[in-house]
Amino acid sequence: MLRLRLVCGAFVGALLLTACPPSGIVCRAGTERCGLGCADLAHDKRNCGGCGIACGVGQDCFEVPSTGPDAGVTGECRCQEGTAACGGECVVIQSDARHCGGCGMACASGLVCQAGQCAQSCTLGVTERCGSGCVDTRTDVRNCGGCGVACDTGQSCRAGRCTFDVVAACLSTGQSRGLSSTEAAGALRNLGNAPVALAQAGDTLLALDATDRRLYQAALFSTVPSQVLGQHARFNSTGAAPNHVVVRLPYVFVLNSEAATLQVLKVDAPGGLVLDAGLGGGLALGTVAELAFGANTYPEVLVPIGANDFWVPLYGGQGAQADAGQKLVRVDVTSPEAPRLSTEVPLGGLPLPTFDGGEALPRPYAATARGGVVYVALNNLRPACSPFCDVAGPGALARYVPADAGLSLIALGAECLNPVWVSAEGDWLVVSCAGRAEYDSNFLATATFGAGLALLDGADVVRGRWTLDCQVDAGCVPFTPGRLALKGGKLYVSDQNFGRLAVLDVADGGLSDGGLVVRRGQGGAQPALTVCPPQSGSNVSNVADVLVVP
Amino acid sequence: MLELVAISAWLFTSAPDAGPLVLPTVVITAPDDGRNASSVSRRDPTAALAVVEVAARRDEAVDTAQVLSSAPGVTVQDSGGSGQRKTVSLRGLAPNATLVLLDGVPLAGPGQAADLSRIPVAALDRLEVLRGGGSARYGPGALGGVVNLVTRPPSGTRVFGGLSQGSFMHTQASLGAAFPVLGGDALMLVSGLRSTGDFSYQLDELPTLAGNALTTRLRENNQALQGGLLLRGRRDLGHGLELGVTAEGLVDERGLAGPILNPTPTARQASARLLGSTRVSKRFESGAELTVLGFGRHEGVTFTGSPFATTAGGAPYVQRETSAGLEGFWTQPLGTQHTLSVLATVAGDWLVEPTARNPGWGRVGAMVGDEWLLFDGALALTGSVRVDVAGPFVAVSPKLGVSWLLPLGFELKANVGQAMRPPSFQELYVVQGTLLPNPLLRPERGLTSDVTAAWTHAKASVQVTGFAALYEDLISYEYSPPLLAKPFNFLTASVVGLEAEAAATPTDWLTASASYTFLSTKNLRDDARWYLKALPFRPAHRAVARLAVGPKWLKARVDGLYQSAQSTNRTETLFIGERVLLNAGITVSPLSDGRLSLTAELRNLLDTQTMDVDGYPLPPRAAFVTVAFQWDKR
Repeated sequence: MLRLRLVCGAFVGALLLTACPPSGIVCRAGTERCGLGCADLAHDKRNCGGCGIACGVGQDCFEVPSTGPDAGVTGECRCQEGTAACGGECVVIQSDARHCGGCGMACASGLVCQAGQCAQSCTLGVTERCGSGCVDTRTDVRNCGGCGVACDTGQSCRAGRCTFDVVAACLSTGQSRGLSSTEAAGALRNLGNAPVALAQAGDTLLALDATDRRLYQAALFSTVPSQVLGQHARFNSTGAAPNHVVVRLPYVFVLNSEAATLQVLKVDAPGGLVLDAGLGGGLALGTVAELAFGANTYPEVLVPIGANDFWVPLYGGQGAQADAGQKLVRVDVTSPEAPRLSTEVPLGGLPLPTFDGGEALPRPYAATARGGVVYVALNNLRPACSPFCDVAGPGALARYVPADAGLSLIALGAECLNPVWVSAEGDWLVVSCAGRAEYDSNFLATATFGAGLALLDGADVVRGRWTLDCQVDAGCVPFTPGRLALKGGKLYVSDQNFGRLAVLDVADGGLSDGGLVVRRGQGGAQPALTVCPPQSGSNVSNVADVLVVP
Repeated sequence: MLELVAISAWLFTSAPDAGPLVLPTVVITAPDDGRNASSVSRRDPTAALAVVEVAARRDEAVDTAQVLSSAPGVTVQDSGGSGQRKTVSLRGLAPNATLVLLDGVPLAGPGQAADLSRIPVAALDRLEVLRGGGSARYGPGALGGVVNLVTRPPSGTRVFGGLSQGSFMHTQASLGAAFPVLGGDALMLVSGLRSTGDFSYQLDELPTLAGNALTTRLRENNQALQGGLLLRGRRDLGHGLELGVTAEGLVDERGLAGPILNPTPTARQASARLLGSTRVSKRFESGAELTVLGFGRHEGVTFTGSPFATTAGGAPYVQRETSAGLEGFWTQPLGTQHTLSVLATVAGDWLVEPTARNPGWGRVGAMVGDEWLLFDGALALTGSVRVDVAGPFVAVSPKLGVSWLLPLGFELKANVGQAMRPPSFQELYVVQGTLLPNPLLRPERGLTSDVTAAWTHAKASVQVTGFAALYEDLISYEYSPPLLAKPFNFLTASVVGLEAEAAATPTDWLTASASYTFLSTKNLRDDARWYLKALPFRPAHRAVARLAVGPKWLKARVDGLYQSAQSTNRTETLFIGERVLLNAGITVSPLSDGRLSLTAELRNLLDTQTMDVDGYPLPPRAAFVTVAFQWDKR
């Protein structure tokens, strides 16, 4: 009996030492549990610094360092841009009759405040009266589309609807982040599971999801601020590993990399999505055509040239299957619902520069077009991968002129290794160079070499660089440049390593000679923005795409 | 589509073990011919257990995974084709949470999944499937349960063999003999398998477009070649001492066809395994018994031509894995009601791989348990606690069990306990293609419980088990940019389900059996978008049925499997569809003593096009012919 008691006692004791596993909702990176959902306490006006703490009129939620044990960030309500603190309130002295033109400068009863002046009525054509102030409801973030409709932090007001000027896709955490043109960050929003590419289709944000194999939709503009970037319930299925999306309404072209197909969707296609009233906006897309590139080709991006052609770099499989790629192909979309493959341009014969004369594969990963010429970013990697394919030599661009089938190589130098994106604006090309990296046990890059940007002029000559090399133990977390968005005098550079976004100014609305001025990022006046915080325990966060809303 | 290769063999004598189907039973009552030395029922008497007698399938062209898949609670993940990788999962856990043993010796490293395609079915006598957490008796790794593959016993004087040929140039052959030697018994068996595996399948090249025609493709680089050897010996040394020795070896080579979207026509795997064990049992006059098992296993695997299966320098990717250990299991009756059992084990595991991380672990474990018999043995209460240290991880695995024999052949069993699985070397340290390791992983832990009601009759049996479990720190691979995936402990999950099996042999010419498994899994700790969703690769419903009709000399049979759809990711956005697979066969035993049998069978009669492992097609309709014989010295 004693023995039995001992055994049973040991069992019960052991069981008591254990505990039931924790359960419940775990919020994604950068968000905390609030009620039944999760909120970005550092940027959410309705939950700023804590659940249920709503910012007041004229306030936004600003990110501040947390004083808690996590030493992270939290939010604090402060006066938003364009407001002034008057007696504890955040007021717009241009339109507040109690502080018209300055704190305490109240207009007489019955008058309105217009452009900081007291007036009998709102007389400027673009304004309307909200209370005793005159506001432009087309652009006023505090009265967007109607009196008292305040856009959320980071949003701007365009044509009476709230939106973001820039949207970033957080691949690692299934989120999106909107920003204003002044880099005020909006709250993190859920977006699929692994959004890899973004595009705008009218009022709708399209997001390709790499692991869900879906084309999700979200509201890009809304008169209800909280609905901006809110994901619609509807989606279209894609092939495996969708990687790029191009919109030419009524058509949407999706490139499925692993499935190796071009998928053509059309608005209001028979059998497509049916929009239910009450589910918000969106596009009633349906797949109308699909074109196969072949096994192990791994098409990467779509480069439109003219109305009828897409050029597509084929990356190729790994190992012996690499030969299925290493090409640039043309897809004729003269009839979008009957796309067909036409020209094939082998890239394997290009004289790739190598460090030691060893084997190298072009690995065409991205492309763009400028003046009817296709520029293809070549990773220039070793054939063997374990798991990362090592850099074989300096990065390069393949330059292909469809008009005369001319193919040549543009060397980018040892400062640009592993180019992964190329964008064109005007006469300029900007190349994003991911570099060669060293990793820690979490596969967070701890050092990079040959990372940065290269700026090429109209003669394809490198005119400027932004070097992002980071040595181990140098106190930096390497910034691994990925996709770029170039618009209106600003260049947004995504980080594939730690979820950041760098912002560079481009002089005079165009790229001047070597004129990349870093505003946010390494070497700039301010650090890069952390738009996609890494998930706890992972540390790696990939800003897979950046969309600038025109 | 079908490629039936006629056989020229005509052959030999009979197969007495190819008689009526022997069905899973709750209580093993096999004669004590030494087979039970490593049996699960002996180690864990109250566990929910199914025993599948391989002998009943000797006249079929099946592999170990196919035989095992008839047991309840079992899900097989199949890479498609003979000799291609097949893993087993129990009660909704991942395949690496099933501890697979060969005569009590682990067939894979800690926390790793065992590949059942590399166990020749001809070498096996029976399969014991312990469902539910087994760490309290078997140590780390048995989170979902234990599958013990018991090899043929060395007994008598006999010669036996079989030859199957069929579609896709499938050839499966074995030849064995048991004979007395050196005052004991010995068994020797050689087996081989060859298959081109080049079956055709339907591919949707334009998966997002509705209504387009499917393309018929040939599965290339799907061939397999295997050769196996089993040696067993047993000798009674007198004074209650018995010695058992087992040596098993396998060499194989196979193509790695890859997923259908992006196949890998040049990838190959060559491997070799050598496993040896020595078991010494001593029975004392007091009724006590001591069994000491020493074992070693060495495996080498070489990958060539595979996308990521080369080292950075381009050399073939070679892994070598070694395990060795010693285990002592002592049972001591204490009076008439108690039996105390004590286990102590020490083992080591080492992996040598190209990145030179070369992890190695020591493992030590100790277990103490008591079986308390009441009401003349009708009621048995068992309690045990096992403590293991596996490398950097410590596990405490308690368990309580009860079994109650009731009148009229009824029996009740119940178990509650805790189990764990340490992360595998690969999950912790080794880059595997596009899968990255994570050295910060914690062990998976589970709190498991089940209740079984069984009824056994001379001509029929029924068993129903309900189970529920909570799991913590389940390891799952997450997408890790770019194109890679990495394992994390992020899940808490609940698994509840039902397992039912029934069998009947109302007459000599009719045998029927069926099993059904219901499984409900829930992700209990995750982002709100995925909270309470089902875990991937866990079909909710799975049923297997089998019917054999006819006199002894002419048996016709049909068996079928239904498996419901299963998601392939935790967001439940991608699915593998439901499937129905039907097989039929007929066996002729022309000799009156039944020593020779000739079988023709059709597998996947409905030509169901399906796949496993998210992109690996399973074979279409196929035909096989098998000749089996056994000659006994009588």
